Amino acid sequence: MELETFLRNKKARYNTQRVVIDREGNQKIWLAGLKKLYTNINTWLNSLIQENVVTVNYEEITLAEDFLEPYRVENMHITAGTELVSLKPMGMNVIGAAGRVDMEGEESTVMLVLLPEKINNYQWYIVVRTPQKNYFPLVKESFTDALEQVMRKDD
Amino acid sequence: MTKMTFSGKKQNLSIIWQWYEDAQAAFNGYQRDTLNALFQGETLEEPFLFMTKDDILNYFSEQKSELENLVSLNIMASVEATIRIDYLNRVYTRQKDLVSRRFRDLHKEKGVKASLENDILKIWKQEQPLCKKAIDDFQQALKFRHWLAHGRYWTPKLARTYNLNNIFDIAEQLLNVLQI
Repeated sequence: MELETFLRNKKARYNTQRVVIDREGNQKIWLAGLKKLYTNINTWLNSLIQENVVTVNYEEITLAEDFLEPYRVENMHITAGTELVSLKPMGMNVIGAAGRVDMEGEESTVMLVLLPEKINNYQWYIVVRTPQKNYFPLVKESFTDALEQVMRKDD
Repeated sequence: MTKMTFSGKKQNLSIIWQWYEDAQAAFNGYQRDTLNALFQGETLEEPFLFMTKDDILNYFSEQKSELENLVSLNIMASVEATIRIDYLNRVYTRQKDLVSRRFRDLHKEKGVKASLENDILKIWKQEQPLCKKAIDDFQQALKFRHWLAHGRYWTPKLARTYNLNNIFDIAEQLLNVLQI
């Protein structure tokens, strides 16, 4: 096959795959979910931020995913003492979820995934490997458990 | 003299390589299907649940690397079998060349329990000095073979980095120079 034909076929396939699902609509769900996640965490940490127990800041990054123009999102950095926990958006092109954020601490990483709960309503879940992946709703208590898992185990 | 009964199951390098290409093609098909599922928004179960494209590519890269390890082990085992069959055939058919004479003496002493590395290949090197480099390369690669065959629980001290391509080249070169 000629070079031009070969690469044009690749592009045509890309264009066909791109329109199979509503990627722009899915991106809106993902970005709204990300905003909701950070809002929830800020709510849970609010009193601790006021007391200077933890600090939260954001780092703008660019996500480049298939079928989408590169777009800006933010990593969320939570600092507690000498430790940093970062929530890193991995993207919306994820098998079985509307998006994924990895929560990285010094000792491990926990996945947070955005899953549909009912029509037009999405909920964040925390993924626990036992060793298969199980997932539980991300609420203040499970967020606390996740922090304990990824952060240093102090005596 | 009790003769060993050969199984007829020994695989040659071209059969092993064909099996490798078939298995690699199967992995690539599985990888394409998985990526297509991701691109089309389909849900898959474990181990792909919640994977991104990079996760999927890393997963298959590791699987294909493991395939290469196992095929490398099979290649080394096949070469060992070829060398041992040649050793026994030379003894059983009473060939007159120097290597065969030395093998008969070795067989009187150790029979089928002659060591590949310390006996058979040693004789090859002594009687066919032109084969020394190919044998040395193979013997170095045997450390990689032993590491794979015995469970990889230690950190091997290898003379070089081995992969399927250079293991195949080492094996093919040895069989070529030994003309077996």
